[in-house]
Amino acid sequence: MKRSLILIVFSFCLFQAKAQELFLLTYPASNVPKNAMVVRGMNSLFQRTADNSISYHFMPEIMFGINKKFMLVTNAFISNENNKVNFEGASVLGQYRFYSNDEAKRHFRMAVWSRIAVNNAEIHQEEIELNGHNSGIRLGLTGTQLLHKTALSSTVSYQKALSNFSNGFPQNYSTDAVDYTFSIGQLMLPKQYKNFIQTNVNLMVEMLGQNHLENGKSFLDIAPVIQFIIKSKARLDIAYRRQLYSTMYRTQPNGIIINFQYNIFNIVNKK
Amino acid sequence: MMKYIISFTVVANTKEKISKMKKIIILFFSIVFVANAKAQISKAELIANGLTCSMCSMATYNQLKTIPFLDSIDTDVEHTKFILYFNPEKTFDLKLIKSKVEDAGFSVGSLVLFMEFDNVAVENDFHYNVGDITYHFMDTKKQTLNNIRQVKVIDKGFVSDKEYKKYLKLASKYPCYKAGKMENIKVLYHLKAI
Repeated sequence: MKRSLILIVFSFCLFQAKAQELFLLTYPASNVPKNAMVVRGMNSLFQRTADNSISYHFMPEIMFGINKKFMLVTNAFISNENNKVNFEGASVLGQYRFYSNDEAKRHFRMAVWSRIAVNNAEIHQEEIELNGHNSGIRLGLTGTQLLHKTALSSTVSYQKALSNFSNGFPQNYSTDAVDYTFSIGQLMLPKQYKNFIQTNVNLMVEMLGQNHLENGKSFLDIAPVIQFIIKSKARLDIAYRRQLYSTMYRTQPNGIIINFQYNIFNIVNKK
Repeated sequence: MMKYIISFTVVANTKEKISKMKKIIILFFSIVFVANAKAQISKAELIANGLTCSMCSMATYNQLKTIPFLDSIDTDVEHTKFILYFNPEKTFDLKLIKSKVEDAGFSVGSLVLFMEFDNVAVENDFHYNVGDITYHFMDTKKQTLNNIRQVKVIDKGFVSDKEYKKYLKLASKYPCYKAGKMENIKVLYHLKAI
């Protein structure tokens, strides 16, 4: 039943859903341009299943293009756990694009990346999430295909959770996981570009799965995203992430993500 | 007295001849100079490959904006095309255009130069020297170029990989195409007249 549901959802993604490659929950194999900086404010509001309260995380993020092949990303994690503002940790990610084949309005790219995260939050679920919950290291591979107004991207990664400083790591939880994602999107508006001012509307669907290596537990989530590109420089994303199935203990699987970001070009090299 | 007059006339004639020679030499050099000066690029049409969205075009535009020899840039977002207006006072380097597009994360799909010619007869394997630059024509029918003509840069990185492979087959006789350089030539570009 679960498998056929997943198959239906994937087919729906492939043939119906549409968006560009500016994905929200995964990075495409394309990097931030050289000397450009992207400033992001990611807000996630997930519902705690125990008491229906809202777990709020704010993740300010800076992305920087070191050169045409390498970008650095750093973000911080702030939450409202225990009804107070907590600075819980931070992470650094480096992505290297090692393959690129460009044609008119299409490309295929591949990149390798790694994230290192430190976190001091209490570990309250089996899901490993280096973005705001766990300390650890993650190594990944991404492939992205752009076909005119449609983009497809997939990642596979291995992650190892480490102890969260003073809060440690629960002994009965798996520390190693393989994650896989599949994202698809399409540019919906404008139908024809006239200038940089026009607002772009992209629709995307992202699928995010995790398999724990020690005990075989897994989950799969789906996240439809609507994205607005404003004056070709700013971006607003609104997403709803929902669990499709899970065999592991998760305290807050469903929620809303709102992201705002602004691109600053040529911060180092001006004319 | 007569002798003196004659000899004076001879001197006068010689002076006139020298002056004519000078004029011819000056004229010759000025023609060469004008021909060189006329081999200017007023603008170029660049198509970037590997992108669709306006945010990507914006990234490319902002990279191109940092090129010192460009006066201004017009953008056609729909066709990922950029019209580059060259500053005639400044030395240009086409490789900088390529590297700026690549810094934005994309690649050059085509770069067409709007170049001024003055009665230049071109054909396949014709080398046209302008200052330090040698333009090597390829895949070009025998013709005389006058006024502003469009020529396409077909070197590696200025066309898609697929197109480059096509030209590589055509250029099997010209090792300079694959190498991208030639002995004793400072700057080499391979062009196709269109």
